Amino acid sequence: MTLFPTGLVAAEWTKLRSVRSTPLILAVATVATIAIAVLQARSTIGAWDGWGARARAEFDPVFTTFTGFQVAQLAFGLLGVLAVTTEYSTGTIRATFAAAPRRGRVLAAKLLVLGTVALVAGQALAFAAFFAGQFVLAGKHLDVALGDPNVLRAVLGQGFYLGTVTILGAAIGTLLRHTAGATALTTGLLFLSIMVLKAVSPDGSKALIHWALAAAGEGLTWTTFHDPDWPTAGFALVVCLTYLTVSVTAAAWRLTRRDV
Amino acid sequence: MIDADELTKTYGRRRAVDQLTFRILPGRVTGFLGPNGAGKSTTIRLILGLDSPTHGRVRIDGRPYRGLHRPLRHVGALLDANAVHGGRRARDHLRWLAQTNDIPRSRVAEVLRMTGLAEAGHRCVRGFSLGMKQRLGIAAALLGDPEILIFDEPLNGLDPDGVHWVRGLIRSMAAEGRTVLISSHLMSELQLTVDHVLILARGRLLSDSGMAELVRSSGGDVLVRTAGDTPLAALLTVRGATVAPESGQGLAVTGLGPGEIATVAATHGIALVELTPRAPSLEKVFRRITDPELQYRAEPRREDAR
Repeated sequence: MTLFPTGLVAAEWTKLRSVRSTPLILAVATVATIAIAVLQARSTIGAWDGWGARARAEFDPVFTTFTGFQVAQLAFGLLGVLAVTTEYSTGTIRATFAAAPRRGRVLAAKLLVLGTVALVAGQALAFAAFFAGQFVLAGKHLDVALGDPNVLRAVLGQGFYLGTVTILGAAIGTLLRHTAGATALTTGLLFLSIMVLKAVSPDGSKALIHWALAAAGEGLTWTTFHDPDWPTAGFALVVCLTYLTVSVTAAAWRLTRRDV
Repeated sequence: MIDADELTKTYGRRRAVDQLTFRILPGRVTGFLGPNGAGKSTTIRLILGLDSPTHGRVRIDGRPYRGLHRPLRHVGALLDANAVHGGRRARDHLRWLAQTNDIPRSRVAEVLRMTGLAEAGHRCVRGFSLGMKQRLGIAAALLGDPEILIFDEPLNGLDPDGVHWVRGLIRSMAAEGRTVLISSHLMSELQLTVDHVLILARGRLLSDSGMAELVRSSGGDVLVRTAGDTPLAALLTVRGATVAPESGQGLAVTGLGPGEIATVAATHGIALVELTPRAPSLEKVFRRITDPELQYRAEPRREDAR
């Protein structure tokens, strides 16, 4: 037996590509990110002449055109959640574990496939949205190039963040097993945790806020303007990796101990 | 061979499976019989390593299920025919299952053909009837050409043709020397198919015996018909039989076998029109064994009486 579970990886790939929700989710994310990048860039060049100095200073040619990735995060998170919870809701999980009783390996194979798909698709979306947005911004010479400071990091960071969100969704799906609960918790972590952490933080302190997942996403994707609520890109990477490690470890621990 | 030793599973305070010890041997069909909630499905989940026993253990050919390498090549199981993703094509469902155990892709088409689903392989499972889903579940169980087959309620939802086909399949699998376990709450389903029966109620094993033995010990009788009035009833009674009249000059005889009855009749020159050994229905046998154990009997609850 080889150490690398080739068969399990192939099986997880077949599972993922043989349900309609996968292409549907990826299509929604594609349309949202690219269309919003173009629209956002167009509205910026239309309004630019009326903007004051502050608005111009806070304008970030990459970050501003990446608003559509809020939708993509939701879509990718759902992709991760559904990859696990539909197995429980349909009962397929029993066939899965009867065929492959070493559950840790099944989880590893599933996360590997999901993570690869999400990273590849995420990077493709990030680059596509970047070029689309910058192409429009170039009409007003507001665009930046990949070689400018922070830009390549921001684009790669956006793709990486989508991968993170997908794996987080799958880990939460494994922990909770139910689509509704896992979707709610994933969405909450993505979009609401920053509000909660702000509310409980002492005045002026950013230490807690920097641990919100959304803040980490922003810390990864800024280029010319940096809000103090956002961590540095390096810290944001640490935050993402921490979320991944904790959620995947908890999922693996729970999965191998519970009855199906 | 499946070998259970004091297998016990507790959910909260309820004992779903209570100290089951049994062996399911190859080369014959073993029936797993019991009313709903008796613990049949729980036992099957324990055999497959899906649930962990609270106490005791169960082994497949001496090994725990979770220790099997490529388990589909040892054990094929049909659990719940509806437990398939409706949006997936039948072929893709079998395909990922095959991949988990490094089963060649050609086997998918083969089991689809064996189960009469060759034409339906490209269709989404959502559009399948329950009978077709049963066939798909059986196809999945056969994927790894396993030595042990476990079917949980395989005849549910099948049309008469399907029932006939599954019975034939199960018999032929046992004839090839495989171990076959089939569960049912319908005695009539098993009576024609199984060699050996395990009877379960409230998680406990009530009976572990050959089908023929079970029927015999539960008392069958012999239906005898003669042409016109004869003294046969009296002659049989003298020899220790119990005789009850049946319609059309028939006699239901217990206590003597058909051979003995025929001999008595021949000795006294009585012509027999009919001589039929009758086995009690398994329903009757089952009701006799389990009656005091029935937990979901329809009787007025105390709260209702108030």
